[in-house]
Amino acid sequence: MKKQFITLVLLVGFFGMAHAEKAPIKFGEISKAELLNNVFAPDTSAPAIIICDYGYFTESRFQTVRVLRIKILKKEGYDWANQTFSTDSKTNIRGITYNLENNQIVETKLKKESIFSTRITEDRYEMRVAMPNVRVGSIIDIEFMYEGIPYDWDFQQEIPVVRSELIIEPSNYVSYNKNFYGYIGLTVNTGSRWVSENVPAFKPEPYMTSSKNYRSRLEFDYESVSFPGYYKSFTTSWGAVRDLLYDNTYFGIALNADGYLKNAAKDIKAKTTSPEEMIKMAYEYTKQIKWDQTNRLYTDKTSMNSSYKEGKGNSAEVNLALVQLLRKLDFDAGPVVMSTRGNGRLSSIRPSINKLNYVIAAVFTEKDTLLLDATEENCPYYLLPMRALNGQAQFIDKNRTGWVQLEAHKKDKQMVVYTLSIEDDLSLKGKIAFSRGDYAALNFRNDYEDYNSDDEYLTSFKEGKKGLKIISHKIDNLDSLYKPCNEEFEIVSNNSIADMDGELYITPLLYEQITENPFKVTGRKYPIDFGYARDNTYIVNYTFPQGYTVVNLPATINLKLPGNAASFLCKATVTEGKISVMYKLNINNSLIIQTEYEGLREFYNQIVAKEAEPIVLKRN
Amino acid sequence: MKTSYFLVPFFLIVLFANSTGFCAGDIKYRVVDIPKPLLKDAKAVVRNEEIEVYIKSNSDVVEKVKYAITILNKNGERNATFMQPYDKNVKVSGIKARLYNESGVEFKKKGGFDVLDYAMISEGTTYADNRVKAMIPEQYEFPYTVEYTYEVTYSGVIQFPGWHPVVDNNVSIEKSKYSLIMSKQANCRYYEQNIKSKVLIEKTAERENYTWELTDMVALADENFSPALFDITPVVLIAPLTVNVDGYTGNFESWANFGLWINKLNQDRNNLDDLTKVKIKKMTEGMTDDRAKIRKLYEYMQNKTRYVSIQVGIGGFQPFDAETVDRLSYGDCKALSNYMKSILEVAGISSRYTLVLAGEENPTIHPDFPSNQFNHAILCVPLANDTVWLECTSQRTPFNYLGTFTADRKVLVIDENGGKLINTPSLDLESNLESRNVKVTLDPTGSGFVDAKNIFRGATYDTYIPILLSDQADRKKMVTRRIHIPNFELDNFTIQETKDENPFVTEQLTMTITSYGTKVGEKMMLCLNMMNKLSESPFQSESRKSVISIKWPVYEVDTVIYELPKGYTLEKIPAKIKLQSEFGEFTTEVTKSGSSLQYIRTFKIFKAEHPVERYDEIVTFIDKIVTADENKVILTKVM
Repeated sequence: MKKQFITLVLLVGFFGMAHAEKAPIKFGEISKAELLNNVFAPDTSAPAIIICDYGYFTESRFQTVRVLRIKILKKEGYDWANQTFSTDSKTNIRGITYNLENNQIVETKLKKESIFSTRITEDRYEMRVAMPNVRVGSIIDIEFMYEGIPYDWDFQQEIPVVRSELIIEPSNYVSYNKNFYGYIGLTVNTGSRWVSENVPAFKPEPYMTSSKNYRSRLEFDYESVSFPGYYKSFTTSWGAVRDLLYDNTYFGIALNADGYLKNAAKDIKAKTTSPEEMIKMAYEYTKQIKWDQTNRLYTDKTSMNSSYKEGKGNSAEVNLALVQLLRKLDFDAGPVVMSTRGNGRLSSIRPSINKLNYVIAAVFTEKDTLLLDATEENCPYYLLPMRALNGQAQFIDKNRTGWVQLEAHKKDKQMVVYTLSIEDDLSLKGKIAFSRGDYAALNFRNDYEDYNSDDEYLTSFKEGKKGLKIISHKIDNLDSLYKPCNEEFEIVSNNSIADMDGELYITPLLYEQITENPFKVTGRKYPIDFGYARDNTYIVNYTFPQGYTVVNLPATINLKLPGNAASFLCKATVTEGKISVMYKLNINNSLIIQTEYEGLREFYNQIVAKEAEPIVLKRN
Repeated sequence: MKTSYFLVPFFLIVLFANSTGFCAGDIKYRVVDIPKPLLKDAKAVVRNEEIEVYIKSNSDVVEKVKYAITILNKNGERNATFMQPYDKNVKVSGIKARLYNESGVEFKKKGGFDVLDYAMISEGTTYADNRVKAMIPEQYEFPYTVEYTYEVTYSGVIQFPGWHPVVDNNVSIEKSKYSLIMSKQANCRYYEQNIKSKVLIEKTAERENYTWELTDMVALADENFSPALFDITPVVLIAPLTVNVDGYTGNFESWANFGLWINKLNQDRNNLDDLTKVKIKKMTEGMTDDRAKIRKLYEYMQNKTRYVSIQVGIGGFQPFDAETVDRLSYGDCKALSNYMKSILEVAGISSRYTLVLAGEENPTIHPDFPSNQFNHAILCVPLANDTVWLECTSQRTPFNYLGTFTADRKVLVIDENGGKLINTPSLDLESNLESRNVKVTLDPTGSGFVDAKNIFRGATYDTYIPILLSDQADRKKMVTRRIHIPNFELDNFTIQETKDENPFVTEQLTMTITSYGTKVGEKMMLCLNMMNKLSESPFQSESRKSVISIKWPVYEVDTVIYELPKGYTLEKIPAKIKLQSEFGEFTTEVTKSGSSLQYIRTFKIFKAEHPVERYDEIVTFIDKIVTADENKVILTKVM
């Protein structure tokens, strides 16, 4: 595709416009002042800084030249002197290292001996450069070029960026779309020039979606290419994206070839008339194509019939085959194209085809719209795997396009019941039962598969569970995906009761207690994204022998975050010889914005403190 | 790749026609035939392995392999993959794969079974000229069996293909057979380890045949604190006696000679230009103490260079010359060690290029089998009274400090007379001391303030290095994550590194703690061990199979002083705890003075290897500590 542009553009290259902006840096022109300045005041702990990252797209050459100037401030920053560029051909790279010796600027040029090009696969090269003569205080200039406009431009990196500038010469022949992401704005933002200044280092945080959503960056897509007598549009609208995809051999064309599903559709129709049952059967039928763990927008094969025959396929093959079968069953169904959680959010402002990396299925029934992803063996049809829970996506079929929300409609549902008796030797005896539903069940089933035997699972289960002895263990419905997965242990627990001055102390939650605040780091820049809601209930029942009186129980508490984003309830009751404590933790909003972080942190502080409160029994 | 794809069916036809006993309907590798004990803890079972290594001469070795493995579940998927590295001296050919279902019936891989070809660049490597051939069955229905046959030829290598039948945890072996055929033209040696069945030897005028076999070996689960897999399972190593690699000839009959061969590779690679020589001489001018000179030049080298991994030339054994390193200011471990040696030479200090098998797991080399068993190079500088060790690939390692990466093991120190095995210094108990001094002030709600001064040495200094390498924002997060107090806020912290020959890190923390003491009616419950609990035992398995191997000793001393909340007191002082065993020691002691309470905890684990029979004892010992670390006291209101 790009090669074609070049020839076309070169023909009319002389129309190219001169650009007025002065370049912020020129390769190989540095000042002594830059070399002398070995302290970066805004972040004195930075190991290195990017003094300038400058990209310039020249229309007449249809080429982007990038000049990168890095200052090494500490030994820890030496890694920045090694750079890797992934390309589809061997690119031209120039580089110079500058040092100050006896107050003179000394240049060391990057030579071939320090440029390593490796053919990774048939058509992919990796160019690695190791800049020579680098020490603390060095400045490195690297220049390289590539065809066309960049796919993306990072204004923010893992080290501070003093200046980052990208210029794309306005062109009569090429137009493109762009989407800006990130929390730190640009200082110049015209239609063809973007500049950022003094952008601090990017720091990822736990419970965060892709850093691509938060790092300041631009992503580009070709919108159209036009010359006298030639016009091709790409991503002017989601309709245009749809047309491109439907014309593509590895999407639309593959989707059309569905004759092979005739019998499968007939079988399902013969079995049921309920739409819900049909959807479920189609979904389970499609799982015959085992997902090969790759996330794709396009199929690898030209027909999903071969995916069935091989019994495996990429995510596009699995889910497009599902669309085919649903359509064969006369459902109003179609593909939903999207970006996975790890790939960052799709912009709601401008369409992008480059950002798409995944496709799932949507089916419209009289009742509602269902989104389906048949890649996960252990998923029931109404669950989307975590990677697909990422903002919004575009539904595309031949006549319509439109947004659908990629939200989890189900929760991480878990109910834990302890039924234990306090024995005379102060051990605990009884049962622990887990009932896991929806996301909790999916996660459990996936985890359990990672063990080679139940023994291995139990060994790992006991980790961190002091004094636990497992007498027996069973799991129900491990393979019945549409039922909650139930697990039961018969246990003995030693050393769980502390006898202090004739009083018995028990921390009721035993092995389920949250002993540390999961949000112990203070301060938060980006939202906390749990992916899906949680609904976890713990009920602990202790029977105690005669001759004891209850002298302390955890006091009732009912906590709620504003807007009921999360809630926690603890309630204890005593009846004849039996104590019962219930703890209920709900996270109702899967996304909590950073301004509410301190509240969330305090919420967990209180949970941790509450769960530490003991039951105290006194010998009469 | 296309060519081979089309050729495969043709070859198969020829093969079928020639093999006498073969008939298309053969049932092979039925899963029901696997002996029951081999299924325990197994993700895969090696059904049959036949390796034939034919050493025609030391520079012409052919390895023929047939390998069949049954994959029982998805954890075994990666064991189904075929992978063979190759380069200009190692060629792989005739790779064929066959698949069998549970009942032992052969089936075709849908979509074809291609031989893949990759560049082999591991993370952190800038360049290597090795590539790898691979095949991936991509089967999603378990169990199934894959059988590979292939041939590898070796020329100009210094290590011949040996026998490592147990390649992974959780894989059992039904049968593995290794035959070595050595022709009269060859001269090789073998080394056996953990071999129970004796080698079969046949000798004729033309050749010698050696055969080893292993049958019905159960799967080994991955156990904490177990020795490396190759240290406890059968291994046969093969090495040539004389070598010729790209014209570098050598004789490996002794470590001395192995060292001489390395000397040949390194010969004339110690040149530095005159300007640099003058600079080096000037730096040490007037200095009389050799140790001080070495330290100064070592720091110069650390400031000037960085580590870049580039694996090329003479099988990755020959360093870049010193002049190149000086000019580029980087190199790999060999190049940097050789460079440092060349610098010291200019200053009139003689040092020894040293080969080591590096890694925290501290794998052992076989001292009585001179051969290449190393993966890293360092420098050894013998002085009149002691020896200085220099790790040359790190810009920040303290002078004469090896750390868990290379300390406490046998290394090959090479001088003009060749190589010699010497032990690097060990990290003893005292040098691993981790200590904490914590002061806590509590208010009547159980909240309060904490001041802590923690010192990390030895192995714990090593674990602190990633923090030292980070910027301030990341340091705060990393320090916070290492603290395990239920509810706290890190108000302030400082980190100070003392980089002498016994380096340590001092960490000072001030924290606000919330609800640390739990109110129980009128009383308050307090866990005295605030910052350093052994929260879980690493020994959970009910049936331990391997010895318990403690490579790095542990020594912790914690002192916590509590200023009790106003109006509260501790009536009954908990009794001292003293646990003593062959594995280690644990003590706690609480004392009261006025309104303050002092808790002292010491914990030692000795470096040792314990037989599996002692497993229950160590479990009990550790469990007692886990329990003691959770011990609480009850504060009562002063009447």
